[in-house]
Amino acid sequence: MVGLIIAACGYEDSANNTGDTEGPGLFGETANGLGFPHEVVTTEGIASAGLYLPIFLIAVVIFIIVEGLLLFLILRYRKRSSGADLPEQTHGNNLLEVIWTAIPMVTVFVLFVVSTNVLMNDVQARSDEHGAVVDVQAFRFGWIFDYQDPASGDPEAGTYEPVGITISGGGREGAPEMTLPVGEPVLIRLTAADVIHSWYVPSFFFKRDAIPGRVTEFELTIEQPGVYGGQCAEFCGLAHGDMFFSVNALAADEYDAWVAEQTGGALTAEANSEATNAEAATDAEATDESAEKAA
Amino acid sequence: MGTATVPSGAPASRRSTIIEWLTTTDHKKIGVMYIVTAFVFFMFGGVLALAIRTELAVPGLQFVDQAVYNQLFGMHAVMMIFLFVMPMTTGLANYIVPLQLGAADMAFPRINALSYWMLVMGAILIVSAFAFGGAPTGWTLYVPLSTNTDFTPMTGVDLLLLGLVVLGFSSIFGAINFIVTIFKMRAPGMGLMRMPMFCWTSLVTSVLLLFSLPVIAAGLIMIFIDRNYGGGFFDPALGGSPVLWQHIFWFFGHPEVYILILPAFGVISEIIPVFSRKPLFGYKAFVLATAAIGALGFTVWAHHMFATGAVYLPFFAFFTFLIAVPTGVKFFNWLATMWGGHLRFDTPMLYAVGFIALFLIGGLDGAFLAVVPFDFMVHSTYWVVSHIHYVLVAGAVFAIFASLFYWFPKMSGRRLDERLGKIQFWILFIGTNLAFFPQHMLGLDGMIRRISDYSGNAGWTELNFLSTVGAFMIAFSVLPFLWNVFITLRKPMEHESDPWDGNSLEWATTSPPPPWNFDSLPEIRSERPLFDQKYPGVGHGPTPEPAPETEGAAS
Repeated sequence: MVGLIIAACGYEDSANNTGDTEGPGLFGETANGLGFPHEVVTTEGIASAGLYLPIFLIAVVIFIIVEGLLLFLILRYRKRSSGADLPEQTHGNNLLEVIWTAIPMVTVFVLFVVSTNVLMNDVQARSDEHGAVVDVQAFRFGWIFDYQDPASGDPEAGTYEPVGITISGGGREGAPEMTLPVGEPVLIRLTAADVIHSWYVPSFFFKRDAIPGRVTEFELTIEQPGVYGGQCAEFCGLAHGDMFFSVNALAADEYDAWVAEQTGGALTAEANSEATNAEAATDAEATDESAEKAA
Repeated sequence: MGTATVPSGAPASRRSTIIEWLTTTDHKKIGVMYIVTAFVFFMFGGVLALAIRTELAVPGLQFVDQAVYNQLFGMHAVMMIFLFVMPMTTGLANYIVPLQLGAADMAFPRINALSYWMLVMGAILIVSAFAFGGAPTGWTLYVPLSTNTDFTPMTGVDLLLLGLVVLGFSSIFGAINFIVTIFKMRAPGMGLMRMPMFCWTSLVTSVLLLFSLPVIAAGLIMIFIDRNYGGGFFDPALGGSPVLWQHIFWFFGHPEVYILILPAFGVISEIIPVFSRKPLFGYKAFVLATAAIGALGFTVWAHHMFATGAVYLPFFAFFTFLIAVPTGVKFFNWLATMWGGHLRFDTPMLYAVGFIALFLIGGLDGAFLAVVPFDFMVHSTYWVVSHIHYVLVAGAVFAIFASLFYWFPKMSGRRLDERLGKIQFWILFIGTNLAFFPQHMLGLDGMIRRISDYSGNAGWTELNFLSTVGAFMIAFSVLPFLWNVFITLRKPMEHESDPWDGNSLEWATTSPPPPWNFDSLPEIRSERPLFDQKYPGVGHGPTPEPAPETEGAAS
């Protein structure tokens, strides 16, 4: 019980503690970006995380009722004498049984309606305008982030022109960084090259599987600038535990500047991205090889 | 568990005793062999768990490397699920169900022996995987990781697949055997609605096995073909689908959870009434709840796949919430059974009450997972690890120890030592909470499962260390039990036929029972025939006489 309360407090503290990225605690932050800051920083994540406290409170009430009743029964009815007398042989009570079937039924129905409402209206809401569109491909054991131009192509049909920024890397040292703008919905289109992976950022309160042969889309809106650690969350083989990445959320103007810097203006965009790509890919391969060797 | 202790009639030479056990078709001997085999794998799987927890005790890789670690968690799960809990509950049911029904044996004694020996064969195949590169796939065997031999070239994976298929057929045969036994072998007067609850849960479990195991057996063979002959069932490049495997796996995998826990519900529903000296409160509701869990168990499988983004979320969320209701009904029925009773806290009851206290946590943290947006956060994290262990350790393992203490006198003719039993209970009770409660907080903070290392800066070190201490306490709690069994079997037999003042027919024969089980049976007019015989006139509540023949027609 005490533990449950600690869990809730830990959660609450860090949920309120959004701006602070310093100072280790029991659920502390990290400096290297590979650990997990605990605050939730996306609009969708905050809506999702908001479900935790009410459900936790319901769970606490049920916990107290059942454990309290159990404790009461143990203390009240423990047999003190060794007599052969029998207690009253009650076989059941229809009214009671209907009541204790109906109350959980109503409770779970309310929970279903509330949580599905958040799921459909907040988490899975779709917008037409995106601050960034990134095609993510997961591979053993790294990530490729391929930026698309949200202003180009046909968003209705889901076709975009590449911006010319491709970032990739893998392993513990070569973890790639995905730079995203703050305050605007970002569209991520996720797939995998080889086996199933999962794109997981605890600060976004969200994960989504990357599945070969399938593109999965989701949106998120980051509210706080900062660097957020992420990790593959579906077991994918030997170096699964080293498959990190991070998200660097920048204010909109800084993000635009970053895009401009990466593309070096429209003229040198292609050359630049190829260089980045080649370099990163070599890194990833190196990590991949060293990981295999470790086996 | 006392393999060589059940007397087999006249004194026999050692050689003929061994031959007799190896060739037996007696459901009691087969049950004991199941139980002993399962306990061996409980310890084997436990050693793997200790290796996992030792590695995770502190950040960094100290004890095993990634390649070994990746074999550990999958094999731990396979052993605990397929080679411990399933054979253990099958063994208990093998021993007890025919006795509770008043039958002389199972319906198909030789198929019963075949099921056991197929278990041994499957176990050998699975263990031999360690000698052939292991099976670093997790127990879920997700494709394409398990189908692509570039990533999992080791023969160990094939051996695991074959072993699981053999175990699957063993369980299918067993399920058919139990269903036929329960429908056709009940003693005169024992209608379906007079069966002890353990028989009911065994029946529903067998139906779940029969519906789910052929599906997974087919799926495992499809993976085997994909791996070895280029089948392409699950390969998107060949028109297959990786998501299809997850549907197949969890269509089996979720009912499997109920296959593991329903017999536990049955055991608890036997023990609580006996040690409260009252009938089970709301017997009919309990039967309905068991059937409802069985049926709903087939409607929730894709809640293991919320994060794939490839399933219709509200449908599976709705049924996942709904399945909490019949489980809740059971809790209230157990508590109402204790209400006003004369509670005796012998070790079986201690474990039963511990089960209620801790399984509740596994129910509550599971309900959180039905909240899809919350599941997106904690799916595949230690929250889920904690949930499954509250269900399978605080649930299944507690119920298994409850039933071993409860039925040991029937099987061996001697009671286990109460003091050692209570010491064991408290070590296990504290160890379970210490090992698994902190994992909730790790999951909430984003620690994913199936990783051999975590950052020292993540703030997870203390919680992981606590969890490791708890795991060692759980392992340590097995020692007093082994010692208990050892010293008890050295004592002379007491031959108490009814040590706990029991209700059901297994207590109406000698301990241990003769090969033919019963010399005579009491008249069966309720779900407590032995109780009715011992306390005439009080068992039927307000309308005791005469018991009309209303439900016996079902047989």
